[in-house]
Amino acid sequence: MRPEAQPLLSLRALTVRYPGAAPVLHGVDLDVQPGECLGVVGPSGAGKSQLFLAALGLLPPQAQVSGSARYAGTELLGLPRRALDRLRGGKIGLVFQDARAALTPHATIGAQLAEVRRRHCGESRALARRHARDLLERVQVSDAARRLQQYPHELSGGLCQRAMIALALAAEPRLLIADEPTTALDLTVQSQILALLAALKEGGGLSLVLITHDLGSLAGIADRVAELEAGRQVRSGAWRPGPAGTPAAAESPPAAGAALLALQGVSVRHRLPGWRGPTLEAVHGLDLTLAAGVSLGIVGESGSGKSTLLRVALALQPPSEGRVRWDGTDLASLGAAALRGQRRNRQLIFQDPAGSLDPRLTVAEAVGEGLAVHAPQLAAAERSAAVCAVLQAVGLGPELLARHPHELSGGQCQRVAIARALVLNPRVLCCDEPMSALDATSQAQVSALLARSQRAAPLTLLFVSHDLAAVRALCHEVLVLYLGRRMERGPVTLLHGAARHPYTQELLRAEPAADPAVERARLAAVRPGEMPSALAPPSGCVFRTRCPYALARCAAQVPPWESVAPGHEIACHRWRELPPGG
Amino acid sequence: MPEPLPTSQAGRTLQRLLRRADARWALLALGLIGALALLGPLLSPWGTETLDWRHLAQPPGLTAAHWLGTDRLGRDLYVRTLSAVRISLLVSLLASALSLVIGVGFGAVAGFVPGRTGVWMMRFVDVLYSLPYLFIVIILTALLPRGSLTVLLLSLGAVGWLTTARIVRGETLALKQRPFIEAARALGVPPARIVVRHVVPNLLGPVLVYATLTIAQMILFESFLSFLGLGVQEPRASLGNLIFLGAQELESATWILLVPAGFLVALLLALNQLADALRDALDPRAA
Repeated sequence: MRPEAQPLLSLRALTVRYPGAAPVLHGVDLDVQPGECLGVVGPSGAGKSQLFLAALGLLPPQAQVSGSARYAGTELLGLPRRALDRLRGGKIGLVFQDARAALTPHATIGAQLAEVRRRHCGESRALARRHARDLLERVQVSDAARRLQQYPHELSGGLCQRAMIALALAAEPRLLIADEPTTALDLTVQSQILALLAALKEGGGLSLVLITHDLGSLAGIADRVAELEAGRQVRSGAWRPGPAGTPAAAESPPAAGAALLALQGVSVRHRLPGWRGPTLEAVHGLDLTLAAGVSLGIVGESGSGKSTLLRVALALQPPSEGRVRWDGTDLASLGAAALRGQRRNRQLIFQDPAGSLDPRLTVAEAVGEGLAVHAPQLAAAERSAAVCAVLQAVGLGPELLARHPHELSGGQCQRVAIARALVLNPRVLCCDEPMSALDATSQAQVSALLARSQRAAPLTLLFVSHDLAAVRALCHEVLVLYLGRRMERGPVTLLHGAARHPYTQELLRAEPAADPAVERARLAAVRPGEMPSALAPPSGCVFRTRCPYALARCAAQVPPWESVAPGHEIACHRWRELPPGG
Repeated sequence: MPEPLPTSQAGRTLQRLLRRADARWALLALGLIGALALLGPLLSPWGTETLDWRHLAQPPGLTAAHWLGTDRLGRDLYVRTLSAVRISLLVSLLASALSLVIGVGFGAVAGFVPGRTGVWMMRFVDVLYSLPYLFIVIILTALLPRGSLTVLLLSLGAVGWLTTARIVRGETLALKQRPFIEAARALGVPPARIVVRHVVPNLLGPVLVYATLTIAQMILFESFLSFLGLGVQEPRASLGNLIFLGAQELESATWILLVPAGFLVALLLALNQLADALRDALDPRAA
């Protein structure tokens, strides 16, 4: 860092307020030096995004912005629209969280990149095309020529985010502002994107602003971190780890319970839309047994079939093949009414907390609904007493009873959803990425709440997540899925260094390290690689296309499901030769 | 919050609706027009078909024998317009209700049943859509006894439900994808209760707004048919045939047109305003 240099972006006493409300930002001062990476962290609602949207004049017209925002000495606030347009997308590139939504759906990636080159750099059509390809290669997109011809919906989330970064880089900006660029991605892709951003910073003298709620993801990349809370800057300085939120590990499982859930040869196929659309196999011939009282973590990247597995286990979707048994009863043999009656024993928590609550129902109505259906004999007073009790158990006060979901924060919504499940005293709680839409504080609260409920009642937990720390904290056993197939299953020690499968090890390597030096080294060693399309899975071992140890045999034969140790099984041809680790 | 919270969804919607000034005005205007249509004729000594030979084409005046004047045959415009409003409101309300019931039922079923059934149900709607609307009504009114209110009602309602069905099916399909519907299924809520408790209330917003607009459309369409001589027949009065008569006298006696036209405009404005306010009130996120 060169302290004598003029800051590239300098915010002074930046304040944002909306009419009739308290200010969203209270006089924030921030500098971004040339060539540095500034991390901006804070819980959701702290005003992180508002800060930079305000500086760039992107807030809605009723927002009142005061203070000063200078880019290389030029005051941005009050700058005419045309001059601003030359800066935004020109000298200052922007990357948003949901890249697929930020890309124009009806134009190819190539056309969108070329448009920026032509508009901001005044290039000819042909030259812009050629540069578009260079840009995609710069963001490490393989097969760039083909990608240029594709539309955003044809690309994976990680590729979309790369295309978005290429788009932000197209006009050769000096400053790149990325708002939660990796939040919607799973850990392996997050590592790849962070590695890319770090490489761009080192290689091109680019200044970076990374806005995120995940302090941990900044360890290897941020030179400085500014923390916002409730619109005020509370800390600024070098990166240091957040308060260690190491929740107690799950207690040991009860001894050898009876098989509660048994899946047998379960496959799930979806016909894709369109006349004679192709068939996608989300889950392929899966066997699984789960003993009562055991908490199972199901991990794998997006598209590995984790959620589909949950939906099938809960009979929200019939398997295309195979059987699902709970307590020995085949779900296919149950009538609709009997199945509904059983549902109270097995509850589901969704990823999107606000979306899983009916916007028209109050908290009291939402939580009471299960009781109204499964215990209609309860009087209204008994029901509301039960609702109040369960709300208290999840840490919500009775003042929320009459609120609607839109009046609650994401964390509160998720606790309402958990209350809605717990009020029925289920035996099994299935969680589909219950924390990934929440900020760090809410994540810790929900994780603690789940751990507490698990201890309070003999609850069997099926926990789908790509957050390995949460799995370590809550689960006794782990199942690793890839492309709808099981790769490895074993006790949770798998995530503490006992993993044998190369894919499990790859997942573990995708976890950010808490030490900046270690994290920098980790990002530098990130390997590219994407999950192949489930429409055309590789032959033999499906992981072989990304596996560093793949041999000819791996392409020829499907690896058998073998036992490593009691309770630890694996599908890998080479597990005997490979060292355990992670 | 001093005001107690209503417990039902409908109560909360009503509370949000009444908080808006434009909604209060629209409801007041509709209430006044409705009360006038029901009770107003009782205040006047004249009947709808009484001919007053001493006052032909009399202009309006509060002290005159006829408050809102008379037409060329000496019939009292006040009484005739109010009875026309009554008939128009009756026909349009019933026709809207008919198209709402058929449309919501058909659309919700077409959206909810899995498989191809829904697609074929909507093809049927498409076929009906493609037939010229006015043509069907003309044939219907020509084949069946002229001037029968039932025929008018049926022909209005039979065509009006098509759009409602489309809107409802689209909304149902979109709702089915929402996680909270799946959450209800996972909770073990029976399908019928899901439809009543989760689908219909979330569907109600766009549908109720559309229904309110349908009433206005039906009044217009009824007026149009009566204007063409296909709807309500003389000597019975409807807003359409009163406007038709008024249009013929436009040069000599403007009030014969302006009185029924004024009521029509007031009704349509109030209904449209109400629809607008209702759309906002049905959204629980509205402040």
